[in-house]
Amino acid sequence: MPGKLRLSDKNGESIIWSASGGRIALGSDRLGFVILRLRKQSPSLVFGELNKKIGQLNAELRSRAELARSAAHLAAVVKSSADAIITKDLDGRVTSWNSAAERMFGYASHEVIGQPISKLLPPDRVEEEASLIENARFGQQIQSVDTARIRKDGTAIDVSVTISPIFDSSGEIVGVSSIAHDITQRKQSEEHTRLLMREVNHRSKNLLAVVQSIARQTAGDTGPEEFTRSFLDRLQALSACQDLLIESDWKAVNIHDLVVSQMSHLTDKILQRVFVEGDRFKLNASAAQGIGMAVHELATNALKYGALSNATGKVHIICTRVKCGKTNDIKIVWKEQGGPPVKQPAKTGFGRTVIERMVTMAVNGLVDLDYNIDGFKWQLVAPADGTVVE
Amino acid sequence: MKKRVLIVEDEPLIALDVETTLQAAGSNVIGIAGDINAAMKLIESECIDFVILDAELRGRSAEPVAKLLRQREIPFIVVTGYGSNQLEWIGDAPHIQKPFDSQKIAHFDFVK
Repeated sequence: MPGKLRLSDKNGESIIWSASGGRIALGSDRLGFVILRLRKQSPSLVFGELNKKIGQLNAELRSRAELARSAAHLAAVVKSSADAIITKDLDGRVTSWNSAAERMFGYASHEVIGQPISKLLPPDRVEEEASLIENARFGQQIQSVDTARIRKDGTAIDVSVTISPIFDSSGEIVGVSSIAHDITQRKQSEEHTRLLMREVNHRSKNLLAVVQSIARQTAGDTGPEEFTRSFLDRLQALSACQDLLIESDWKAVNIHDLVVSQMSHLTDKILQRVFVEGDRFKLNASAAQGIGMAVHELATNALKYGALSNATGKVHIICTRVKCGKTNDIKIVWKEQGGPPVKQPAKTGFGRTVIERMVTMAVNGLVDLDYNIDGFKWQLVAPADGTVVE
Repeated sequence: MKKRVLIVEDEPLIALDVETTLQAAGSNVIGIAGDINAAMKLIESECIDFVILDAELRGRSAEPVAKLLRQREIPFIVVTGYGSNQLEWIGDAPHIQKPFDSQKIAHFDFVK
């Protein structure tokens, strides 16, 4: 923006100067004009001093404009921050409160400015806050302390706070800034992990206790040579059931998949004579474990003494949902045919306990055993409620 | 006279194993309850000398059962897969961590 400037020297002689410069912002609503350059239009005295002053004024105005821009930039950062940024004086009274603090704690800035910060503190955190502020007063910055605050509505919020001293231009500490980051999600995630680990520990100990019971019962049933094979077969069956449960997030196991998984100790050739038929309903975890173990014992017995102990016998496993009037049951039938003549077992071992008492307890059901000479038949009826996952 | 014992355990194999141990130790197992309701009914209807109590039954805390047992002054042993410090309601009741040697149960004074 060029222009003409008329000035007079000390003798009153008028000199024309050409001036160039521009508008400059002094704040949000103030403008100034800065003379950037003066060029003498007619030979005269040198106004060196004037030029120097103008240069100093120019630099100061530039510096002030830069500061104003910087302050505006910082204000924008504070305003748009997702973290609550609060400043307090050395008496603990709030001096500034950004938008995130409003959202996080529920107080509008006019409700807290000038008020003591203690209204945000749970009773058990008052001493902690006093200690943090005391440290800041001595110039110390406190990084990321996990703590808690109280919102306006009285609910608690987990936050991580960083507290720093605020210095004035002479280096004196005049206040404290506090940046609070909402860590509710992290705390929930930590709590979830803690519960999960607790549950894993509980389930693994329960499973170990089950394995221990299987070992003890198997040992009571067999000689040392047969113990290893029987025990390992039972463990594999239990493990297969666990795999199916894990695949479904411990929620539900398809009955057909379960039955097949419990016969891994049978060869493929023998499995060709096993037929899983009927409805494909889903069992919950405890029902799957109980029924799975029973199916494993039934298969083992069929292989040792029943329809799978010869080359031609067959086994049909028929799974049915029985829905009739008020009845809502599951029925699983294990039916052997074509095997050697059936004989009632002389003694009751662990296998019998599993297919009769254990499974009955697991599904709150009823078991029927039929040692018909033409083929052994086992039938389980249990209420769908508490057994089936719909 | 044989001690009358109730087993409250939702894992049938463990319950049957404990039953075998207690029977071998000379106790009379009057029943096995797999959930809280069944346990409460048996405690209210049967004469019981002591109870073996699983700390969690089908995903629910067995605390209500323990409360009823304390009211009726029936001694009980808590069997748990959790750390004992994780379950405040156990209080001063004797407890055994899973997996456990079921013979240990037979060593408690009120079982003998």
